[in-house]
This record gives sequence, structure tokens and C-alpha cells, in this order.
Amino acid sequence: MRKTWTEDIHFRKTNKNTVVKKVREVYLRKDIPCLSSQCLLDPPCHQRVKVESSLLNSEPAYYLIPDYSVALRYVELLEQEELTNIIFTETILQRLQSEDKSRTYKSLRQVAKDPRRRSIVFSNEHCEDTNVLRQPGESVEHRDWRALVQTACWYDRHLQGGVPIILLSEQFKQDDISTAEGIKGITVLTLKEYLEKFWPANVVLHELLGSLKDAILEEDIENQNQGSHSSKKGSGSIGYQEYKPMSELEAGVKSERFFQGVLRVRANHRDQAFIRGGANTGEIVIVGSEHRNRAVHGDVVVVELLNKSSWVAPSTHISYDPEEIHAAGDDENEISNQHRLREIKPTGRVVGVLTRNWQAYVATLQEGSEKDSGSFHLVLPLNPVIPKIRIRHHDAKVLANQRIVVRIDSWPIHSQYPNGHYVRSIGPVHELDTEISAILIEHGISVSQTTQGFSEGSLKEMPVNTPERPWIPEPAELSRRRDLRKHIVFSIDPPNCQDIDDAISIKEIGNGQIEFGVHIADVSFFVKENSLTDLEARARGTTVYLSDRRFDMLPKVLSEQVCSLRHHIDRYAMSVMWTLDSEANVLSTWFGRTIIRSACEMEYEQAQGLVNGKDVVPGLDARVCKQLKPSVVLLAKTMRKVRARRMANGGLELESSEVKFKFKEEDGGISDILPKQPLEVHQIIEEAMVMANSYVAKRIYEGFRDSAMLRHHPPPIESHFKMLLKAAESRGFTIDTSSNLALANSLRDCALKSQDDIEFVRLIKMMATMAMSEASYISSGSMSIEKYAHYGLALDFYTHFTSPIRRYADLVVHRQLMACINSTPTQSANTDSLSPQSLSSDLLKNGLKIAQVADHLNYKNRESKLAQKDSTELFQTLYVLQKTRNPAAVGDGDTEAEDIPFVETGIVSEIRENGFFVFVPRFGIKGPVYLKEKSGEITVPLSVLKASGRNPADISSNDHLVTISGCEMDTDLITQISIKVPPHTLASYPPGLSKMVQFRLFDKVKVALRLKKSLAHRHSIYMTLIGLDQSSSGTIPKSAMTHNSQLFKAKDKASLQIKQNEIKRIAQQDPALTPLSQGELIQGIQQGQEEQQQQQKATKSAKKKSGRRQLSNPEEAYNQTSADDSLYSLLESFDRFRIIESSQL
Amino acid sequence: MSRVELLSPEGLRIDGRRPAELRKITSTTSVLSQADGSAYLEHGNTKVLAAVYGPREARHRALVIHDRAVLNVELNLAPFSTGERRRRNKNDKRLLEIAQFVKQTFEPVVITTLYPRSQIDIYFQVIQHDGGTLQACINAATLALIDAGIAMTDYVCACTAGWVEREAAIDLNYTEESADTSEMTIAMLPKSSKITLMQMESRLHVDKLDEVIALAGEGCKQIHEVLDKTVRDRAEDLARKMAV
Repeated sequence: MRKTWTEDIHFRKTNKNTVVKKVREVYLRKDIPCLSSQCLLDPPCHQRVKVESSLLNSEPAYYLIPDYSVALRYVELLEQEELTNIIFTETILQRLQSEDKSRTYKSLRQVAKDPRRRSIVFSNEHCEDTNVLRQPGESVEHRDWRALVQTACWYDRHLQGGVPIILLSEQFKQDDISTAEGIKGITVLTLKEYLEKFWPANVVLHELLGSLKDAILEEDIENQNQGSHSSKKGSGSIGYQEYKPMSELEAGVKSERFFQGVLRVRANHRDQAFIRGGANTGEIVIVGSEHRNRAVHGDVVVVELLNKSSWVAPSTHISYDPEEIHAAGDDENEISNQHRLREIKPTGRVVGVLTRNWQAYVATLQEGSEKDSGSFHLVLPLNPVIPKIRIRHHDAKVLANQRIVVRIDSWPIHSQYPNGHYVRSIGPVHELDTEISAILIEHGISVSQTTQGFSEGSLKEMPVNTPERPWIPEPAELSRRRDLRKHIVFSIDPPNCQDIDDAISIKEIGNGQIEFGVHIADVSFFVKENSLTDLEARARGTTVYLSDRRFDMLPKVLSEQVCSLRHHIDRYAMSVMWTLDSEANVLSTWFGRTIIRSACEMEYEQAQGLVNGKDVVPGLDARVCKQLKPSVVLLAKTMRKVRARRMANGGLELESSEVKFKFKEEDGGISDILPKQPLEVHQIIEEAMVMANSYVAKRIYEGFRDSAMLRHHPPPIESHFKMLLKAAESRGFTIDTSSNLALANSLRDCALKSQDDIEFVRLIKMMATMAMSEASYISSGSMSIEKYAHYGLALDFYTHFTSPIRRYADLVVHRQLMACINSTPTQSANTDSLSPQSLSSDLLKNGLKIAQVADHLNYKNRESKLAQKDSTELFQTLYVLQKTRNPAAVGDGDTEAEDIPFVETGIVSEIRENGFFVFVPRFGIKGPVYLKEKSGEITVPLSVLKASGRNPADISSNDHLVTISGCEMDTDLITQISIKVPPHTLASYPPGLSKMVQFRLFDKVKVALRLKKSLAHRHSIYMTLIGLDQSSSGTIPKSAMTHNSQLFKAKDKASLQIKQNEIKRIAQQDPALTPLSQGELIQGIQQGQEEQQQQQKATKSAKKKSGRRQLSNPEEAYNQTSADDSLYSLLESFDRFRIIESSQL
Repeated sequence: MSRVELLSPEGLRIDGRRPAELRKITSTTSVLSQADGSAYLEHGNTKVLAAVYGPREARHRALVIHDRAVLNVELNLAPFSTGERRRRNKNDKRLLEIAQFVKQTFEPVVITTLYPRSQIDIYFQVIQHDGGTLQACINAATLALIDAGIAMTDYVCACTAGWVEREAAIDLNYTEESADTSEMTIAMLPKSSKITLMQMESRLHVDKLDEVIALAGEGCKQIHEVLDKTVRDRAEDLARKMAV
């Protein structure tokens, strides 16, 4: 190939401050593709060379070419999804790189990479026709501008004027195109002109442009100021220090003088941050904003250790107020002086920031700030770990009481807060839709997903399914598939489930052998690799489930119709069929594409009924019941065996605090929060899915040694169990954490021995879950084989195969499985022009790319789970808000107070320095109880003292409002916290009070749920102590809230025996209780026993496999598609708690 | 501080080549009249002058081998060959090493038994340095030896290849070499595809080795065509002159 050749000559300064002439060859090519689908050449020029890029749209109104001034400073505008068909020239990319704007560079690359944006990078510097040499005396800006004009001209000629080209520039005008080059198809516009011309109605873009302009102006002023008196300000009153030069940082990190890591700020202590440094230092704590030195949560920073003498221990307080920044700082000294039992951790300060990780933050204008006339305002980010941001806005009144999106631009050394700019407004504070949008933005869930939008192109790819023209299988496709329509196939899902992605068939085939099949919706048949829908789904990664809504990954026509395995309709499926012997050992396995016709969409409740031996269950036809019952019973029998085997291998049974919200029909208010009801069928279905997943994982690993998409769950880190071990010890249990089997056994042991206290068992299991590592997708090539194992499920290979409608990973696995079994049908008529066959198999085989996809999916998964958790919390607070505000909702209770006490029973789940956390199992709410006021005064309500005193009878309803101050407190921070009332204080109160109250881990307490109202943040729930719970074992609270149904008496002797033990236990634990007359105690305990039994009935413990009564009220079940029903998914749902909890600890 | 992007997502290297493309090669022979054979060769911006003296009587008695000739290779890097002017010691270990590699490469190829008790000197002057000195020296030496009329079994063509970011790339330039890329130089006899030199100083994953070697071999073949053309052009030129 003939290449033209030129030289790029420039001068550089070296480290030694000498100027060196650098000469670099530049080869000019003829084969740079225009990457436009409009290309007139035949074949189009992008098909002549191998390229992996999206193509410019075929019928666009125009192509955009931004210049350097736009790319550098308005990158955020270019990132907006509305702008498509952008040509990024190599000129600006090279300049960004050479001027160290790697963040901007990355953002632009990201835009070009996103196939939905239809934007490309054009290597104009290496294209023979567009290369421009710098003329003598010409400035770099002018040369670059000429290069851009040249590129625009080239496009104009190349496409023969087919597409108008717009050059975006803030610096140059139309006149700057010299007449010789001037071609009609090229227009030069500033961003403002461009937006006015093409997006006149898009307020968001206009506002963004405005605030970006402000930010730039400010930055310029800043620079000037710095130039004039730079040294004077240096490290002024705020005490920030200059970052060390990059070379010094790198050398420091290499020589282990400095430590590098991602800065994490503790959510409950904004004053404290930490990094996970090198292996031999572990966690490094960074206390105070001075030491944090302008680093923001998420940045990659370099930390220098302080002298050992100034090392501190991380605080164990529960913070009082998220809005208060330095509250914890003072306490810190106090604690370290006290030399508590806690260990002192390495402490450091930030000396440099390697990568900023600034994102869009949701924030609220600081209260009262709208009255200020100035144009600078402070906003409080919703996320408490982000510092206040200073923004410039001309009219603060507009922003008051709104949730707004802001971005950080810079953090100059002499400014206490970072400078940022306003992006857009989401809506009024505390409105449901606003708050939900805020959650979505905080977790990076894209606009296209939240508006449920799919591009027209991708909708064109979808099969047609209308009432007039229902979708039916193609005859040609039928012949390629195994026909299972004669088999009895059924699905078991929550009521009203729309997206049914799994169905099951099971039958005996003689010789005691069983044919067992799991059938999964064949999404990969409809969504071809690299089609627009596929790209969109890949970007979304997963369907996002919030408490009251969901955001789909795939278009509705697939997720709810054509792919969903509805009953009585023919559907394509991917099936795994096993032949099992009578002991449920696998004799043979078959994978393949099938066609099925589901006989019935069963609900969990109905299936449970059949398993329990009922012949007819509500909602199902008697005939159907008769037909299905043998299958369901056989299924239950088989899966129990499989499960038992897996449990014997060390599979863990863990707990979650997941809850469901029940909404009022009329006004969308929340009528109730319901804990998840575990049924045995859940486990049965889950086991079937786990089985399918693990067999598929093995199969695709055989086919793709280097690139199989697997899911692994690494064993937990031993130190994470500390909390669990101490907690169990306080109850006299030892927990062996050496392996998953040992852990499972000791947890089971724990559960068996404390059957009378299921809440304790639940908490213990939850603690175990929190110690778990996070499960994640991996590409098999990126790790060694022993790391593939799944700790929680005790399987060597695992993947996700069974929910392709809502998880992208499953789709990849489906494709890999299809490639493995080598029966991929030749691409049918709807082949996509964008995806040559060669490309598709490329992705599946390329371990590196699979690893990239896996990382992306892990991120998306985590964010969607966090969003789910945030929305749950949001609804919990809304519920508490309703309950405390509206007198009508609560039957009795004093209505005089503005806040109606909302009394619940909870369990002490974590002890801290100044109080403890209480977990309310009824609603799955965990909240803090402060024993020590912010002022440092320790208070305790009178009712508590009375309760633990002699006369529990004369607690009056108002006692909890009276608090005794001036007490002393002592705690070991893990198992107990106690409060002593000094005698002289006690004297002023009526006699009969105890001198000391002790709260132990797992104690039951009565608390009032309250809301801490806040403008800048979501309301948060906290609790105040009402009293000790009298009936001290597993109770459902007897408050106004609970469904106060009739108690029934336990009469058998066994329960009496337990009562006796209970008395002894309590007597040992709580000396204050001993004087209590035995009769009273028995009464109390009896009550507790009864309630507990009742509760056990209601929750229908899944561990007891015998038939139990069915859930009385079917309405109490979930009223929407559930995100995850498998127990395994509970485990996963705990990942997110683990993330959050560990960042708090 | 941003690391240089050696291979852009568009698949272009820093100087605009694609991974499997060589730099521009230009070469001439008989550039020096004093020497028995000489050649001037450019690989892009790497420019080397090679001069061959001999076979002639050995300078030192001690070096004489009675049944074949001795190869003596000396390499000199001009002080002005890099951006920063720097005078190099003649005993610079790196230069001696390269000279040693050249010597080893040619010992089996030059039919030394034809010239017993004599010495063949190959001198290199690197005039401009932009990566791939060793390959340029070997290629220039081939031309100069042919120019001197010294009997050889085949051409020797050398080419570098390395792993640049995510792909195997050929003929690395100085920027690519200095960015911690693993680089390998191969010298090959194009007719028999035998390898006479394979040199690598950095780490390379064994999975990628085959690809890199294959690409370097491909490069050697291309270089062979260029060298062959130069030799034939020169020969034709001489023939024409003699006919006149």
C-alpha cells in the first residue's frame, strides 16, 4: 500500500528543563473510513477495513463536529443523550491527551463507544486528505481549526453534500472559514445558536449550557486571581495543601512510602474516610476535611501515613445529624483520650489525587440560601458522603425546595467547598416522583431505561404481537426445535406475574426414572447479538425493580408477551432436560431449543396448596389441579432430595429483611408493609433453577474455557465474621467459620437450639450474610479454575441462565450455550445488517470482552440493588410518616401530640458508643436509638426504669416522655450497654425504680418510630426508647398497629417446660428481673410463647416441611412481580447490605 | 498525567500505521567508495550506514583462525542521532551487545570457510535513532556484505515485533519501544525460513508468543523483497554501465 508520509515536529521540555526537539513520523492513509451509513462508495468505506465502531446515522439532519473549545469545556453537553451523530476528530482527542485532560478524553471516548449515540471518532490527522500542516507563525488553535474545517470539507465532498455539517465552536465564526475552503454544506455555530436552532424546546439542554457557561466564567476568574496572588493564598485558613507532583506520588506508591486507594467516606460519619491500602497496612483512616484535602468520595487518592502518635481509632458513635459536618470531630479526641478497648488504626492524609470520580449528584439548595441576593449558593448533596457544593445560579428562588442535579467542576485550594454547576431540576423536594428520580440518578440508571423508551430501530426488530395478529411460531423454526408441547409444563410465579421466564416439567418414565426439565424463555432467539435491542439491553444490564415500579431491560412486547411463557400458548424455550433416578441422581442431561405450551401459570400459594396435599386450590380449575398435582408433588419430592444433597455440601441458608409494600388503591398511599413470606415452593423452584444454572455453567465452561460467563462467590474474609462470632458468643453459641459447610452446620445448630427465639436466629443469619463477600460475574479466562466456586450455594460452577428477560448475563449465557451445543440455526430472515456473524461469535469467544461485559453487569447489578434498597427505605419512611401524622390511621393512642407515637417492638441489633441500633422485624426497619444526647447528656426514659423495676404494672402511658438525665453509661461496644442512674437523681423520682438498666444484644425493646425530617436529605427513621419488652421471647408486637387477632392458649406440657427454662435464662441475664414474682413472669412469658407460636403459624417456617395451613389472606402476598424469589437471591440481596454496612462500620 | 495511547480504538498506531504495517524502508548500496561494500538503510526515521571491509588479512595474529574468516563488528551511535545530543562511550555495553548480536547472526550465514586466515570487518554508524536499531543494522549489513561480494548462503532479514496494548504489532518505533512494550527481534533466512537470531529482553505472555513470532516472520519476508529489489536494481545499474 502506498503511504504518504510526513513528519510531526514539535518541541518538548524534558525533566531536566532542557528543550528537546521531537520528531515523529506521521503516515497519511487513504483507508480511513468515513463511518457513515450514508457513504456513497460501493462497498462503503467502513467495510473495507476492520472497524469496531458505531456508524453515523443514515438519515440524519446533520453531523456535528465540535472543536476543541467545545470539547474541552462543554463536554457535559456533548454527553447528553439527545445529541447524536457527532464526529470527534483526532485533532481534539490528541490535544486533550497532550494537555492532560484525560477525564474529558475518556468522556468523549465513552460517547463514541455508546452505539446508541451514533457517534464516531475520525482519525483526520492520519487521513491523507484531511491532514493539515502547521504553517510558519500559525498558532496551534488556528491550525487545529483549519484541520477541523478540512475534515468538514472532506465529509461534505465524500458524501457529496448529502448531509449538512455543523461545526460547533465557541471560538471561531463562519467568517473564519477561508473562502477557498468555503463549501455550502458547512455551517459554523456556537452552542447557543445550535441549541436555539435545533432544540428550541429542550429546557434541560439550555439550562445546562447556561450553568456550564457560568462555571467556565468562574473558572476563568479563578485562574486570573490565582495568577495575581498565587503564593499568598497557598495553604490559607482552610488548611488544604497543594498536591504533590505526579512523579513524586508514583515513586512514593512504588516504594510504599505512600498508599494508593479509592477514598470511601463513612456514610454515618462524614468526617471520616478510609482507603483500603496495601496488603500489609489494611485500612487507612483519614480524619477531618483538612487531611482529606479536597478529595471526594470515590476518588483514587494517594495517602501518606501520619506519625503513629496521631493515629486514632474510628468512631463508633451513631451520628446524630447527617447535616452536621464537624459534630463527630470533637468527640473523636475525647474518645481517643479515653483509651477505649478499640484498636487504633493507621491514620493518614491525602497528598494527591490520581483520578477524580466526580459524577452527577442530586442536591438541594441550602435552607435560607434562596434569600441571598448573590449568585453563589451552597447546595447539599443528597448523598451524605459528598461535601457541599458551591454553585452559581442567577435565580436561587427557582431552585429553593427543589431537588437539583449538580456536577463538581473543580476544587481550588483556597476554597472550603468544591465549585460546581447546576445541571437541571428534578422536582419539588419530598414528592414521591422526585425522590424516585433522585434515586435513579444517584445510581446511574439511564434516562432511556426509566422512560421505558426504546429507539425506533430496536422496536422495528421486535416481532409483531397484536390482538389482531398474535405471534405464532414459524413452521420452519418448529422443525428445528424439539417439540415438548405434549409434556405437561407449568410455571410457578408470584400472582400477576407478567414476565414468566421459567417453566418446569417433570414426569416418571418408568424404571423409577424421572424426566425433569427446566424451560427458559428463549430470548436469544429474538434478540440477536449486536442488534440495537441487544446493545440497549447490554447498556441497561438488568431490569430495575423498585418498591412500586419496575424498569424493564427489554421491550414490553418481548418481556410480557412473546418471550413470556404464558399458558395455553406455544412458546420458544431453551430447555435443560435431565433423566434422574429415583434418588434424584442425574443420569443424563440434554440441552437445546424447544417449543413448549405451558399448561398452567400457577401462583406460589396454589402450588404450595398442591404440595400440602390439597386436591383443589383457589383460583385453579379442579381439572387442572388434578392434572398438575402429581407433577407438583413429584417435583417437591425430587427437589427436596437435591437440596438436601447440596446442603450437605455446605450450602448456606440465609435470611433477609426484605419487605413488600401494599398500596392503597385510591391514593397510592401505603396501606401496609409485609415481610416476605417464605414458602417451601420458593425453595423448590429455586432449587430447580440452581440446578439448571449449575449444569449450564459446566456446559459452557467446557465449550468456552477462556470466556465462559460464570458467576462466582468468593469465600468471605475471616475478619468480617468478628461481629457474628461475638454476637453468637453472647448467647453461648460458637460458630465455626472455617468452611461453608461448617458455617452452615453451626448456623443450623444455632437455629435448632433457639427455636423459641426466631428473631434471634434471623438476626444471626443476617449477620452471617453481611459477612459474605459479594457474588459477581466473571469470565472464566480471567481467573484460575478454583476461584469459580460459589461459596453460598456450595457449587463448583455456577452461572445465571434462568432469567434472560430481566438479566443480560443470562442472555450471554444462552448464546454461549447455543454455540456450545452447536445447533445455532442459520441466521433467519431478520438478520441485522449491523451484526455480521463473525462479530457475534467474536464476543462470545473473546475472554477479555466477556470480562468487560461481566464488570459492567456487576456494576449495573450493584447499582440497581442499591436503588432498590433506597426505594425500600424511602417507602418505609413514607409509611412511618403516614403513621405518625394521620390520627385516623391509628385507632387509639393520644392524638394531642403532633407526632403520634408509633410503637413497635424491636431487637437490639448493634451496640454503639452512644446508643444502639434496633431492628424492627415487622417492617424490616433498622434505626438508631440514642441514649446519649447530642449535648453529651445521657438520658433514659422513666418507663424503662419502671419496667425493669418492681412494679411493671404502674407504667403510665406518658412515662416514656419523661426522661431522666445525668446518668452514666458504660458499654463494651459489642454485646451490652448499660446505664446507671446516680442515687441523688433517683431520689427525686417515685420509688420502685431500678438503678441500672442494661441493654444486651438481641434484647427486645419497645420503641417509638420517629422521623427525622430534613429538607436536604430524605427523611430518616430514628427511634426513641419506650420501654423494655415484657414478653421477652419472639413476639409480634402488641401495638395499635398489629393485627390484634385472637390469642390462643398453649396447653401442652412441653411448652411449660420451655417456660421454666426461659425464666431461668432471664434470671441469669437480667438480675433486675429476679425479684419479680414468678407468677407474673410466667404470665408474661406465656403470652410471649403464644404470640410466638401464632407468629410461627403465620410465617410458616419453611424449614418445617410438614404441611402447614395456607396463608389466610391471599391479598397479603406480593401484588407485583417480584424481583427475586429464590433463596439464593436473598443471599444476593444481602450483598447490597454488606456493601452498605461495611462502608458504615 | 496520561499515558500515551499506543494503539487507538480505531486501530491506528501512534504514527498512523496499522499493527501489521512496516515503516517506510529506503536503501541504497555502494554509498562509500573507500569500503569494499557499503549500504545505507532507513526504517522510517532510523537511519544506519554500514560498511564492510574485507576479507582482508587479520590485524592481530592471535585472532587468526586457520580454516575460516573472522567476523569483526563495530557499532557507533552518532551523538546527534537522538533528540538530546549525547556522546556515547565506545564501550557502551548496549552497543557492544548489539554488535555481538550482529556477529552471531552472520557467522552461520557468511561462508567463512572460503576465506581462511582472514578477517571481515563490519562497521555501523547509526545516524538517526528511532527504534529498531538492531533490525536496521542487520538489514544494512546484509546489503553491505552483498555489495562487498562476500559469499553468503542467503539474505538475512531482521524485523521486530511486539505486543502493543492489545495486539501484536510490527516494526516498533522509539515511542512504542520506550513505553514498556515487550519487543522481540527476529532475523530470518527468507528462502529457508530459518531463524538465525531471536532476541527479546522483556516479558511476554507465552500465549501471545506465537502470534508475535508469526508477525515478525511476515515482516522479514516483506523486508526481504525490499532488500532484494535494491540489490537487483544495483546489479542492473552496474550491468548497464558495463555494457556502455
